[in-house]
Formats: sequence, C-alpha cells, structure tokens
Amino acid sequence: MKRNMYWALLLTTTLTAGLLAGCGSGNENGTQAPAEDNAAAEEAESAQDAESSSDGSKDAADAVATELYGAGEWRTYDDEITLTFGDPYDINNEGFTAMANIGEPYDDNRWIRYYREEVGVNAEYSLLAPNTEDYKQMLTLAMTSGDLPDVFWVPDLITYQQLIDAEAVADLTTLYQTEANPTLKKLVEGEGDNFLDNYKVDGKLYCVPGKMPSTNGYSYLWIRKDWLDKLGLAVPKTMDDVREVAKAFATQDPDGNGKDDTMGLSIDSSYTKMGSMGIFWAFGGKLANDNFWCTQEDGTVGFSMVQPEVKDALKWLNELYEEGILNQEFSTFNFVDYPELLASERCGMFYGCHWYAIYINAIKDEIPEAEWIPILAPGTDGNPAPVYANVDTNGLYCVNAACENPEAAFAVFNAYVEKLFGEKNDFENFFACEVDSNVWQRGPVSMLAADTDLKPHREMKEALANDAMDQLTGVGASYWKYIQEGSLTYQLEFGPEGSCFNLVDDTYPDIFNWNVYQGVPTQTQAARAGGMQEIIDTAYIKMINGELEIEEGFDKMVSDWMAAGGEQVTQEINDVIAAR
Amino acid sequence: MGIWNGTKGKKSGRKNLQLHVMMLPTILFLIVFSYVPMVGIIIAFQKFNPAKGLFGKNKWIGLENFRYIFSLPNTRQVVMNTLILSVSKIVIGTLLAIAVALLLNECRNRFLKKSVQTIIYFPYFISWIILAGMIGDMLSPSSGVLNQLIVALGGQPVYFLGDNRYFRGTLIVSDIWKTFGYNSVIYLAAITGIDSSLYEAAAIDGAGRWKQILHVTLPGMSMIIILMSVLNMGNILNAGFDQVYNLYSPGVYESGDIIDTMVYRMGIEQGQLAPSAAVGLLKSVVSLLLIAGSYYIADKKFDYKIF
Repeated sequence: MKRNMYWALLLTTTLTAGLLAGCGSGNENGTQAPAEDNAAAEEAESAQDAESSSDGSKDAADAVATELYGAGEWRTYDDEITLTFGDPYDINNEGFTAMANIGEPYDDNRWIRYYREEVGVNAEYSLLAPNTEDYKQMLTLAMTSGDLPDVFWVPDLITYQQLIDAEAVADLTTLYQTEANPTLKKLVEGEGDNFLDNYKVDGKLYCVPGKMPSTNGYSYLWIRKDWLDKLGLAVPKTMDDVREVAKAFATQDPDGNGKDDTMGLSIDSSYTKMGSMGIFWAFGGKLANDNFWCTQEDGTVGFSMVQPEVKDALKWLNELYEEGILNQEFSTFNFVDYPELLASERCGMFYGCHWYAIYINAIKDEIPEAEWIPILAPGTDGNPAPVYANVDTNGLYCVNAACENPEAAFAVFNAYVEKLFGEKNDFENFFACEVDSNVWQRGPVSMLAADTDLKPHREMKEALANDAMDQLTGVGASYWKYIQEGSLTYQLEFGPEGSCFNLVDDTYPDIFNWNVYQGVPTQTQAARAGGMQEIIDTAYIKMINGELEIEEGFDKMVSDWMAAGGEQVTQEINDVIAAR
Repeated sequence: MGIWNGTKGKKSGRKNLQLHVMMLPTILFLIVFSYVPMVGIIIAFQKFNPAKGLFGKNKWIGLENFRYIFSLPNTRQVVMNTLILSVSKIVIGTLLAIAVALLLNECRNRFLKKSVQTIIYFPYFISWIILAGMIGDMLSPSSGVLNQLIVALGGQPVYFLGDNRYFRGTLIVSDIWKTFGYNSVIYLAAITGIDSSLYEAAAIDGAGRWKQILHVTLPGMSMIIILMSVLNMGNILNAGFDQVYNLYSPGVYESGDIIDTMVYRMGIEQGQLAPSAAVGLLKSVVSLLLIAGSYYIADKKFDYKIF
C-alpha cells in the first residue's frame, strides 16, 4: 500500500508541476491576449483599408509615377534607426571567418558599416542559422512565437503564403513603387515576363525576391574529348549523335583497360530538376525545377511534366537504359557521387549544370589525361535544344508587418544594388575581396544582376582578344588568377574559351523560354503538390527502367496526377493567370 | 523498482528522501521535454499556420487533417509497408538474436565466443547515415562487391536499392544485420543470470545439451524475451526512419516508403505541419494501445510485471 502512496505522491507532484507549467504558458497566453486583440483590431482596420483602398487604388495607381528616388539615390536617415535581419548565414564558414580575420566580423563588416554610414540604418541580425534547413525551422519557430525580425529571408513560397495569410508581413505594393529606385527595379524585373506578378497575392506584393542570374538554368552535356578523339568520334550535334557516342563509349572500351566496364551516358537522380533537363528539351518536353508551367495550343496553361511531349524523351532514355548504355543506377545516383564515378573512368559523358565542373576539378589530379568539354544540350536538328527555365531567385525578403520603418528595407536594397551594379558602384570591393570570393553575400541582404556570372567571362574573353590579360581588374582578374593557378572549376565554368559561359554568352537570353507560372502555391497545390509530384517522379523512373510501358504508363500517370489534385491545380493556376 | 521494495513505513520513507531528490532532475526533464510539448498536439486539429502562433487564431477543423491523410492515394501502401517492415524486423530479429545467444552460450572456446560477440555487436554503433553510404557502395549493381560476386558466379546483377522486388528485403536484412548482435548480447546476459545448479540438476536427471536448452535456458530467459517483445510492440509503427530515409529513392517508394518518411516529406519538406502532427498523434495513440495491450497480456498470461 505504501508503495502506491508514493506513486500517488509522485504522480501528484508531477501533475502539479505540469499544471504549474501549464499555468506558466497560460500566463504567457494572457500577455499575448492584448496582442491578439491588437491583431483583431488591425484586421478590422485592414478590412476598412481594403474597402477604402478599392476607391483609393486609383490614387495608388496615380502614385506609380511618383518614384521618389532616381538611379544612384536612396532614402537616408539622419537619426540612425535600427533594423533587425534574419538570414541563413553560417557565420563560422570560411568566408565569414576570413573577413573576421581582416577585422570585419559579420556584424561589423564593410556592408554593415556602409549601411550605417551612408543610409543611417544600423543593421543587426536577430535570426541566424547555419543552413537553409535549420533556418526554415527557426523561422517557423519565430513565426509561431511572433518573434520575427524586421526584414527577413524567406526560403520558399509556401512559407511566404503562410506569412501573408497570417498578416505577419507588410504589404509592399506601394512602397515598392515609390521607394525602389530604377536600379533595383531593373535588377528585380530584368528577366522573365512580368516576373513580379508571381509574388502578388490578390494583386498585392509582400516581398522583394532575392534575384539571381538565371544563366544557371542551362543544361550541359559534359564529354571526355580525349575519349572522342581516341575512338575517332566527332562532338555530338544531335540526340542521334549523342546516342552513337554513348554506344561507342559503352562498347568500345574508351579507357583501354580491356574490361567491359564503361557506361555510355550518365544522368543523376535530380535529372528532371537540373542538369539533365536538356534531354527533355531536345524532344520538346519543357522541364525545369519540377515546376514549369507552359502555355498549351488551346491557350490554357498546363503542367509541363504531364504533357505528351515528354514521352519522346522518356522513350529515348528507356531505349538507352534497356541497351545498358545509360547509367543503370540513375534513380539512386546522387550528383555528389560524380567524383567517384569519374575517377573510376567508367563514365565519359554526362548531363549536368555548369557547376558540375567542381566534380571534374576534384579528380583532375587522379586522371590528368581526361579532357572534359561542355556543350549545350543538343537538340534533334543540329542546333542546341531550347532552354526552359525559371527566373532564378534565392528565396525572397519580407518585411515584418510590425516593422515601424518598412521603407528602410528599400533604402537598404537600393543602397545594396547601387554598391554592386549602380553607376557609381564599387563592385571590385563589395562583390569579392582578397580573402573572400563571396563578399556580396556577407551583408544582411543580397541579390545579383542577370549578367553577374557572364561579366567576368566577357572581361576575360575581351582581354584575351586584345592580348591584355595583365590589365584585367576585379572579378575577371581574380577568376583569371584562379585559372592560371590550375582551377578547372573556373576554367570550365567561366574561362575565356571552351567554357560554359562561353556558350551562355552566345545564346543568352534568346534561347530562354520562361516559366509561365512560378508563383505562390495555390490552395490545392499547398495541400497536395508533394504527393502529386511523387506520382510523376515514380512513374518517370519506371518508364525509363522499363517497369512500365510508356504509352500506358504515361496515361495512367496523367490520370492519377489529375485525380490526386492536378485537375484542380491546373484550374486554379489558369484562374490566377486570367486574373492578372 | 528497487527503491520502493526497500521502503517500510514512514521512517524509511524519509530516509529515502535523498533518492527522491536524485530523481527530481529526471522528472523535470520529462516534464519539460515530454509533457509540456504535448500541448502541441492541438495543431493536429487545426488548419495550422505557424505565422499565426501556436495559440493564435488558427481555425479549428476537427478531424479534417485525419481525413486528409486517409484521402492521400498512397497512405494504405505506406501503412502496409510500415507493418510488413517492422513486423519482419521484430520477428526475424528476435528469433535470430535468441538463436545466436543460445549458440554463443554453448560455445566453450572463450576467444571464439568473445570475438564473435564483438564482431556482431559492432555494426550497432555505426549510424545509418554512414552505413547507408557503405551499403550503397556494396550493393551497387555496377561496382558493388556483392554484385561482382553474383556476376562472377554467373548471375545477373541485382539492383537492391532501386528495384521494388528487392528493396524491402534489403531493408530487413540490413537492419537485422545491424541490430541482432546488440539484442543477442542482451539475451546472453539473461542466460548468464540463470542459476548453474539448475543445469547440474538437469544433467543429473539425464538431460543432454538440447534438453537443457529447452527446459532450463529458454524458460530462464523467458522474462527478458517477454520484456523485449512488449517493448517492441510500441515500435511496431516505427519501421526505422533513419534507415529508410537514407536508403530510399522515389523509384522504391512503392515498397519502402514508411509512415515516418512520408510525414517527414509532408511536414518538413512541404511545410504541412498540421497533417504531420495528426499522423504523429495517431501513431502515438496506436503505439500506446499496443504496448498497453501487450503488457496486459504479459501480465495476465505470464504473470509478468514491469511496474
């Protein structure tokens, strides 16, 4: 009996403590209550605003013309104000550490000083996480506890949508029109067709996208030129050529080790998202990032991965797979494993992005005779395949609805783009420096102009043509230095000749076809997109490895996808586009 | 358990105060990290938007999240995969561990016994992240050791990690390989605890090795077997997230996707926190029922008490 007494006692204490803890959070809740009331009041207000803005919107429309700042200008504050920021920065990484070692710690480096001195904004970080995954969880926590920074990076559109629904972020529609200067607007809207529409919810803009150069969207075919030469083959120009080369690589022992151990062509498990989309592009499939929407013949918009045009590419891949020339493990082969595969000399041709060059660079000492070249993903007619791409961004920036100076965010953005891309820029010191090649990412906000990656290539090419390599300055000079030091990464990506950006320079932007809809997920998309995509991912793999017959499998996949929410999503997206 | 057995009356209760105080940190830990977070289950019944706050104005939608989960096309398959994987792992794993423990116990060569024990125990300490890389390399159809052996023996290479026919088997075998050493050590410990006079008595009665195992060893370790089985019942919906997540790919979702991996993709990758919480809650309730049920049976049928 006594024993039970103890248990009872223990249980009571535990429960009491639990209750106390409960009370604790209850109290918190109590203090939150006024805030909720405020929120409710604000909601009521904003409802009124909405009403008044229906007639006030004309005023807003008129206000478009009143851009407050010209190129090279931005709002400044005489009395310094403090803005808190949230960013996914690993302040202990190589770059931040190198900067800190030259007397510029992350919270007092050239960017922070610049904003303090020339904008009057004291930038502080209140939310930092070493990587996107952690940042996302910390941001969710900050959202839940109502503890958001003034200006913060948002990793994805689902989170963006949630923030808008909860009225946690400021409406920037008018501010963008009045406060953003022409340099910023040009940078943000420079690519795609009415790109900013993607971020508008009910006609209102709540963010500034972290714009990146879309030139990352290309798909290249990487080939071992020394193997081509050895087997007396020409650089492939069409998909039939690619197949011939693949067959030869697989069967004619290009590495000369006397063993039948080479594959013809490799793709990796991200083949529909990046790098290998060129195969689909060649046959008319419009794939990019698993989210490409295209205009169909009847004028409506459809999801590219369920359009019949992808079938020819799947068939091509299936035939190569069955003949044993395609990487038989593509569905489980992660691109980070390329160094191992390339070092084993079992692969002489693969599809990939420009930055796959790092994997070639990684093994250059192991196989010094390997001579890799990139070519644009070939089409079927001898020309490169068209490119289908999203306007590239690295997340987006939102402003806390409770922020007292939302316009200060634009002062910072304006100052940022002017420093890097404006008339009076200081690109050389603020894009990269001696110790850190990514200084542009060491401030609280960052975005890059569309031609940022092209520029150093063009500089090097021009200098080479004029035989003036020693007169190079800035990024071009440092890239050239890396190349001289033997970096294959820089040579193959940006080098003056035979590099990926050499191919980009010839074709950008004419070869691009932009995504028709890369905007916030619709209601059904938010709830169902993951499962819907899994239907496609699984079916594609099975059609390529022959588990499913293509015609039959494709029809089944489309009907499954439609039933799982695809039909509704398509309708919703068409409605959104029609309402623009 | 021991603490309570020693208590006799109020006096000794006071004497045990020290021990109670020593328990306090654990209890606090449990409250803070296990009980308080349970408040979070409310989001399973909400249309939850994190930006509105945990106690914010999220809409209450009753069982809508649960309905949504069961409306997903692959839920049935995922539940089946989970059950098949976990039941196979538990049943085969337990039987194998018992068998190995019995064999090791019969082994008279000390060196052999210890080295076998160490070797089979070792994989238990390697994390799945690392093992997944190793297994991926070993099982690769083109360059993996195992497939090179199969080819050398005249067979066709098998795509263990990419083929739905083999994926489940690969998961089960690799998991058992990793854990049976650990489990057999537990059983071995139970065998060591058996009074040796029982064996002598059995031997005098004319029982051979086999009869001794059957009538002395197995009954002697039955309590541990029951305990392990009861505890395992609570894990029946956990088919091993760490393992599956690191080994699977979209091509084998059909045979290898389990509840935990589905929830991970839904909650973390797609930001649907409420349905994920609903699955978590459902899993906990089912596990609680199973563990309580099996404890009840163990109590009634075998007179076994944990508490």
